[in-house]
Amino acid sequence: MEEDAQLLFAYARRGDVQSLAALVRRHATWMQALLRGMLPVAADVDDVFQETWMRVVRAASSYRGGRVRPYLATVARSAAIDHMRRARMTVSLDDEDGEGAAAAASVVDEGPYPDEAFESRSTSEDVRQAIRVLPEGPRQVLLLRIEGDMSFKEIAEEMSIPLGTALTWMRTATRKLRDLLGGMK
Amino acid sequence: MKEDGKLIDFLTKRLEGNASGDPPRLDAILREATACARARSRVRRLHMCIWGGALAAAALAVICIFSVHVQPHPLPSEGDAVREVASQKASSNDVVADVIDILRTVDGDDLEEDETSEVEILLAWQDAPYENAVSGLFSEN
Repeated sequence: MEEDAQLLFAYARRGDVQSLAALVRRHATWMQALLRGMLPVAADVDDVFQETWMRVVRAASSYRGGRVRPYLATVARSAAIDHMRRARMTVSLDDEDGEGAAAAASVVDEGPYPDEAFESRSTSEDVRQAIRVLPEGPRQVLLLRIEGDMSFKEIAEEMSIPLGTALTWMRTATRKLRDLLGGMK
Repeated sequence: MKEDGKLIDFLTKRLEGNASGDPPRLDAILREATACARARSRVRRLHMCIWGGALAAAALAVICIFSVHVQPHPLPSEGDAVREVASQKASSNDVVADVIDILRTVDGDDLEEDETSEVEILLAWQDAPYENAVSGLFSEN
C-alpha cells in the first residue's frame, strides 16, 4: 500500500487524480468524524468535507512532505472554523423568524439531556453528542488528538496555545467524557 | 493514563465505526482536482518556456560578447617577437637621435661633448620607451 505522502506527491507532481481519489477514500472516515465533532450543524459536514479537499487540491503543490493525517486535520479544522464564521456572519440565531429560526432549530438539540442520553452508552450518536457538549477548547484538542492523530505539540502550535494548556484541555475533555458516558470502562 | 487510552479507543471506534461507501462529494472533489492538475501543468509548461527562452538568450549574449571582443589573431613566432622589439628599439633610437640633433643645433651652434652626455642622462629619466632607447644608446657606447 502506498504511503499517504506518496499519493499526495503523485497528485501534486504528476496530476495523478486516481492517487488523490485513493487518499480521499482512505481519510474520509476520520475526517468526517472530526467535522461532525466540530460543526454544530450536522448537515454542514459534507460541505466542509468537500471544502477541505478543495483546499488540499488547490494547495497540493505547496505540500513539502511530513505526516499527511495531521496536515489534513489542520486543513479540515481551518475549513470548519471559516465555515462557522461565515455562518455566524450570515445568519443570526437570535432571529425569531426566517433562516435564523431554522438554523437555531437545527442547532438546538431537542433530545434528552446528555446525562439521560448516555445511559445506553453504546451508540456512536451518544458519543458524538457527548463530544458536542464539551467546551470549545477541550473538544478541539480531543478531536485533533483522536481523529487528526496529532501530537500535543502539533495541536498546541495549530491552536496557538501553550503546550500545557493543550494537555490540560485534553485531561478536561477525557474526564468530562468519562462522566458523561457513565460507567464506560 | 491507561484508562484514557481505553476511552480514546472507545471513542475512535464509535466515531468512525459506521463508515459506508464512497466519501461524500467525491465526484466534485475529483473534478476540481483534475482542473487544478491541468492548470498546474499549464503553468509548469509556461515556466519551462520562459526559463528556456531566458537560457537561450543568455547563451546567445555570451557568444556575441566573445565574438566581438576576441578577434582571431595568430600567435607571433619567436622570430617575429625579436623583430618587433628590434624595430621598436630602432624607432626609439631615431627619436632620441633627432632630439639630440635639435639640442646640438640650438642657435645653430653644436653642443659640447660633455653637454651631450648630460642630455642623454636627462633622457634616461624619461618614460619607458625612452629608457629603452637610452639604455640602447649606452650599450652601444
